[in-house]
Amino acid sequence: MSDTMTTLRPLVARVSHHPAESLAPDTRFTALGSWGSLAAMRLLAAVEQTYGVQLDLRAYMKLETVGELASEISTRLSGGAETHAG
Amino acid sequence: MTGSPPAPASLPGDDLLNRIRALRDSPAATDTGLGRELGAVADPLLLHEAGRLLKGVAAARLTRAPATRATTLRVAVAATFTADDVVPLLRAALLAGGVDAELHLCPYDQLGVQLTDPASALAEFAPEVTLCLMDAGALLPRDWDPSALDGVRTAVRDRVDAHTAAAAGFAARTGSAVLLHTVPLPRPDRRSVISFRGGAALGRIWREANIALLAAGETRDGVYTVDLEALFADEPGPVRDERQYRFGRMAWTPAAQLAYAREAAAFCRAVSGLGRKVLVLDLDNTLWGGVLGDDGPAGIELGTVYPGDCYTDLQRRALALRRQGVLLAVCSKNERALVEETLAGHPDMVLRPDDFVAVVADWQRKDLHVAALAEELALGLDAFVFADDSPFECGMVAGSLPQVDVVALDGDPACHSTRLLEPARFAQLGVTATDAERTALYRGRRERHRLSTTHETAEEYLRALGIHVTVGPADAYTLPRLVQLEQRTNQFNMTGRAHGEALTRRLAGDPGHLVLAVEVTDRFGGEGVVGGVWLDRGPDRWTVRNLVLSCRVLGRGVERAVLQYVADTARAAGAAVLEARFRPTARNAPAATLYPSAGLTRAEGPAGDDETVRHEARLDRLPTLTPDWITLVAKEAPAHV
Repeated sequence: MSDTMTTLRPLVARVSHHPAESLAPDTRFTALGSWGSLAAMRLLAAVEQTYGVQLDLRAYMKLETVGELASEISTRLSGGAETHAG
Repeated sequence: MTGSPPAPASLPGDDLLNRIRALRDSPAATDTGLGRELGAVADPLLLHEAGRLLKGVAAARLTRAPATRATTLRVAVAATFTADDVVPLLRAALLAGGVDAELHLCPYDQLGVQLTDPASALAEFAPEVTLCLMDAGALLPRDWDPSALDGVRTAVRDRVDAHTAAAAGFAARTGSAVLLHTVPLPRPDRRSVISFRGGAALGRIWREANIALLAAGETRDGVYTVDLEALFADEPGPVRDERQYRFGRMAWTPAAQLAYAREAAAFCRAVSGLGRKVLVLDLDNTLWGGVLGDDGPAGIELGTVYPGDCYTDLQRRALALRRQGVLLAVCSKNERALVEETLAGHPDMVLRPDDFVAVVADWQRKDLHVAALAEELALGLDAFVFADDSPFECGMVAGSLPQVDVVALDGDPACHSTRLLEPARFAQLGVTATDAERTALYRGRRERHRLSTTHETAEEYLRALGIHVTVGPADAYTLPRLVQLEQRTNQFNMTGRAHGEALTRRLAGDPGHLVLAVEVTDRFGGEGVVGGVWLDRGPDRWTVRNLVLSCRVLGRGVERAVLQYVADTARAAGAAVLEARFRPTARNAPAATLYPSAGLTRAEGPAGDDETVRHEARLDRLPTLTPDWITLVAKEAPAHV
């Protein structure tokens, strides 16, 4: 499991009200009971605050699993993609 | 994923959420430190989850001494943008302040309709507090033209007027307190004007809009305005995240939502009359720098040079509180004579002996002094704030008097004023004329308390007081105080309810009703307006809707004199029957015996709801009610209210 995945799990757990232990890289956001656009926005704000990155909302909304979000964050952290200023 | 996953990293605040889960899952459990910790949470996501988990948990289970409010406060949130996430933050902020609330969220962008339609879901919810949240889009037309700012000015003003009128109308119709706020203008809108002249013009248009919102909160009955634009200036980062706004019409970032929720919770405390009313201050290293006993009056730090200026500033803040009705007291471990000399004579003191309701300087335990002061002033300990630089004294008072709000003034004295004033512990809706004279009123009360210990019998003491009770119709001066009094009074409140400002004003001006103000004076001076009566007057039957009396005049027979006035006035108007309603609450037991002991008997039939009991008597059968130590004075009706 990637370092990002390790630190991301408790964050997703807090927003989704699921225990961190139950979240795997292939866990789909839509499979998390109370998931919706408001929860997605809260997670986005928390991720950006925690990792000091800014994600492109279009790319973010296409991410389907926790693992995909972890790699997107890792990519941003390593400067692999252009960042967008809000 | 191969092998066993590493243990998940934990997040700050996980332990807090676990404590909340434990509390929620065992209905008998309490966690009395939780409220205070919630009040200090700065992470919006953490507080959001806390608020979500706390739904249905009573404030009494997470504060050491919950606010003693009989009922749940009904609070509605109506916004012109997506504000769903404000609700859990608000719940957490309210619970941290000891307020139990039922929260109602109106559908997105229906603020105007919800306020104006008498059959709206909002009206049906019957909120006591209505929070109106607006974003710039509610005031600025979507197609506004930076080259024609005169038109923009008119359009913005029309929208502000429509919103304030809807808010005032709702407040008048329902009696709800309505909270508006100033609205920040987002950066893209400001940057859309490229000329400096145009930017100045747009800035002025926007400030005029916010000034109109502030004016509504300053003058309109039942409408209040929090200056959010100023509040947001202290928050790092933008108020609006453009992506969240474009995606889901979320106009406030989580941090902005949290700042608003805390402010709204303070407003709810003010509406509930839960603002603190007494500030007990230490002296050494609190009101001045240094130790008086060691450094002498000439050696203490005050004045214009750091750190003395910090202590002088704290004195100025305390004086400002005193002028708005907060009672100040000194509780210090010091030699009394030296303290009195310094308070009266030190050239750099801002606060003087007359500013204090009590000055206690000796070597006794401070918690005992605070408790004694509460008794002398006939105020609940939940009205008290205790500020001291010593962790020992703070711990002592917090430990034995959990109702007291303890402010630890340790650390850099430059931060003391802020620490005293935030969170908004002294929040009030409005300041009345009585508030400015409160220190003198309460000093009289302390003297009365001391006189009572020197007389053999209660009656002898009461006769020595020379009590005059003045009753008459409410006027423009007494009405705001009556509204405040009914909201704040829990013990001697015959129904435990409050009519609110709008309804009280309407009843006072209507010939079918009557609102009475009660004032009490004695040899120590006037107590001001200490009671009120809300009446329906029919041709044959007068009905007391509610009667309240401040706890500071209880035990003197004032309530019987008030009832005498009501009976006399009803009889003179030709009525035959006096009816009075009583609804038991958790706290109004002291009021339960008034009507039966005055000769009113319990009547059959419903009185509006299940718990309310009707009492009635034929007016020609009522005995004399006024005790012989009270002189009852009828005040003339004012020309108009």
